[in-house]
Amino acid sequence: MTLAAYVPHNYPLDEIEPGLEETAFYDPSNFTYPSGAYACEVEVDPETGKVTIERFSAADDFGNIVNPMIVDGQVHGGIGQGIGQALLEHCVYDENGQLVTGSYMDYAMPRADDVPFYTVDHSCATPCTHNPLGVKGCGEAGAIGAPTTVVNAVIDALQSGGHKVDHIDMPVSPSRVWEAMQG
Amino acid sequence: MYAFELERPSTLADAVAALSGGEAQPLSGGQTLIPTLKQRLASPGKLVSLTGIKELRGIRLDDAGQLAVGAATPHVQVAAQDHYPALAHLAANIGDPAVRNRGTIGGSLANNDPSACYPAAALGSGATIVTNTREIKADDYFTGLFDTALEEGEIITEVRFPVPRRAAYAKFEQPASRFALVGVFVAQYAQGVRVAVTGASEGGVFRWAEAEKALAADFSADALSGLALDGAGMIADLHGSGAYRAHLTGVMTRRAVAAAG
Repeated sequence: MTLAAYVPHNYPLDEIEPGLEETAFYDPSNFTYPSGAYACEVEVDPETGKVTIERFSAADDFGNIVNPMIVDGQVHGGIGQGIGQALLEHCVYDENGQLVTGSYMDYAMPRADDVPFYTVDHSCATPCTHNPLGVKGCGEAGAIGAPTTVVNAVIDALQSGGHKVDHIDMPVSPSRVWEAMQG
Repeated sequence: MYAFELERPSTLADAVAALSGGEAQPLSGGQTLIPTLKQRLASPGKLVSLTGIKELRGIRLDDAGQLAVGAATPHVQVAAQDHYPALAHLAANIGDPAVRNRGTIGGSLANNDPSACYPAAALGSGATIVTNTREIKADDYFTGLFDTALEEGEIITEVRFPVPRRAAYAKFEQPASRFALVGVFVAQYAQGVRVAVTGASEGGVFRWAEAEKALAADFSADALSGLALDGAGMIADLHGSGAYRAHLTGVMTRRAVAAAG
């Protein structure tokens, strides 16, 4: 029937148009709720305030996984974005509203050597009950989990070094960490 | 980018003649000038490329044992020489491979970006900047932010570095550009120690006299304890305050001394 619909040479074109279209909407009974736990180990240079991420591990429950490599890639990319937000990326405007981080000379994007190798784990796979595939969303998990993980690790490192610091605004740049260490 | 004429002379004399017109500007590796043109922040009527002039390229030891680097020599070649390892290390960490293959020592010194690495090496080594008309001591050459002793139409031909007993360069990178937020070049000679700081001061590269004096008496990181600069006159921007840069100058100086061994 589809073939006939798209091969209209013997169609009564004055009566019907060629082509076949159908639209259906799926309304899931509920959202999907992925969950996970992230941990990272950082070193803070006490003289310069520079933060280095030594290790980063992410464990997520994404339900049933159809293509594991794509899911790993989504998590890797998300963590990279999250580390960028935590340590580097910053839009700054001057008092006239002029963007002063308008090029990569001043806007710091994460580069390969800003991020460590990641350990990701999806061994806990609890099928989602809200859709027939039992799958959960995974695209944004890394970007959601990484910023808090990195910043909490920096705060923990500073506290273990004897500094009374419980908050630093992102991005946790070397100068901000150094200033926090000055009290 | 606006339209401009391009000349590619093959001799220094032709380059000097081409630059005498007034509207013309010299082009070396183009790693600063070309992006500036692309952003339409400059519109020279004519560019005179210096990289096709053979006599401006190459590295040799001169009769006095100084390392003489042709002005149009790209960073990658300075990084590969082994006469002056601290200078090689500095050149090997400028920008990225593309920058190091195109960017030149003469272009860097003529531009005198306050965050560039080469000015620290030239001032820290007491180098001589040789031009088509004269020889300029590094101490007289750097006159301020993007400002040098070069006259209009004057071309750097060679930079001569006295090779020190030991030396090192320690750079703390600005997170985005990876230029020096603060870079310190330390070199020990028979006559004394030189310490040159880039990235930090509103006046561009400078010598830290107190550190030089302390290191001349005792060339060790410990000799610098108690020495500190204050943040007055230091660059303050979104990457760090003047006080932070002043502090980093001390840290990087100690690290350079430690690395020099």
